[in-house]
Amino acid sequence: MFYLMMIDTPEEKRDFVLLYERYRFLMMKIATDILGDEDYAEDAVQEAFIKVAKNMRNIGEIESLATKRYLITITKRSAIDIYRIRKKQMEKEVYVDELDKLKEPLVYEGTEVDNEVLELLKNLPVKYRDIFLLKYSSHLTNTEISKLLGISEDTVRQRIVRGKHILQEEIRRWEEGK
Amino acid sequence: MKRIDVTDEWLYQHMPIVDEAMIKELEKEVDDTYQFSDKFEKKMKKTIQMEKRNSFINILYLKRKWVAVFVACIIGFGMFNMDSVQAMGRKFFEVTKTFFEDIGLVEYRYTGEESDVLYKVEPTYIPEGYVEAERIEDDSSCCIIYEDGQGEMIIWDQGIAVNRVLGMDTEYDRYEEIQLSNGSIVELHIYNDGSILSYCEYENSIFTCMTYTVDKQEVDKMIKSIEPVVAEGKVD
Repeated sequence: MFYLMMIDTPEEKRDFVLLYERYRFLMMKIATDILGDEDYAEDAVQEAFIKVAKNMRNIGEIESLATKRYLITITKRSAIDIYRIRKKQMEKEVYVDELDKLKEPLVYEGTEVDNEVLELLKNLPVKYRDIFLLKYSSHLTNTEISKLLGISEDTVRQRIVRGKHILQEEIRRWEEGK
Repeated sequence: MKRIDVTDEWLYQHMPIVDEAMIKELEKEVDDTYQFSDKFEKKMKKTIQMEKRNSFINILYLKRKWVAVFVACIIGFGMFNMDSVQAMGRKFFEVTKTFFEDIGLVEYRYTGEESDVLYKVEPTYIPEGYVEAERIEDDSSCCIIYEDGQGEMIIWDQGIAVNRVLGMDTEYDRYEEIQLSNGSIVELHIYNDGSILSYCEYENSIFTCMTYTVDKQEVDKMIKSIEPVVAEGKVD
């Protein structure tokens, strides 16, 4: 090697710059919401970009939902890592809901399903919802999810099963209450 | 009323709707006027500059993409005159150079006897305001990073072309050449963001020099400053 490079091809290098220009503000919002401190949030964003650089092969279309979800997830992980170090919570898993600070309700488009059902999906506990988003929206495999979230594949599988069960219960309750 | 069963199929259908709504709402609340700190901007600029430069990469990765060969040719490494090469008691190397156009990669393979000795050559002229900030070297490569006070970089790379692949960004705006006094050619790739890559081959090495805000005249001076070093055999 000339120097240890994180990104392999020229195309990936160009995409990395595009990602940086397009998403650094969104990533900063995610990190600031978690850390509440701009200096630490900038550290988290920078750390996140380094992780992105190492994983450019996982990046698809710059504007795709999957890319946005991937960047949000990586930023959340980086910010949570910094949060854990600051709070000395190295043992416990920390879950953060990026929707906590939203001012407006979500607007669902292009669906015939009752919005209340989609709200049930949105309101799943974060540890299940994060995995559901990566699996069922971004189409990541359990292995990819486990690497991205830093948890075992067994945990991913268990949370999918448990999350489905919780969701099914919620939907049943909603159906019976209609 | 038909009851909902939470199956994989149902989730694949509806989770993207929730995902899209979530991201749309998050994006609405993004502050795109936020001023990142100088420290952040400098670190990111450095990361991007380091990543943007052309680089040798692991050939194993490329094995999966052994397609789209554009041109393969035999090149003799010895861009400076033969006398100086022979005077230094070294061989004139033959290397197969293969260009994979669609992915912008150049592969180098020795067809004759291999040489794994790196004769380090570095510029004696450095544009004003730049100083050596970092040097990363091993037996087969040497990277020197020059920086000015603003975090702008000049990245000088030399590496032995033994079974290596160079990532070459071919989407440059302009192509120019610098002719050295011995007739050898140095390629200049000029990109639309103002960066310039100079590229040349000498003996068993590939040289690249990536600059971002330095103009062509300064690049020209840097490149030409290695001529006397090479011609006199004053290499490590």
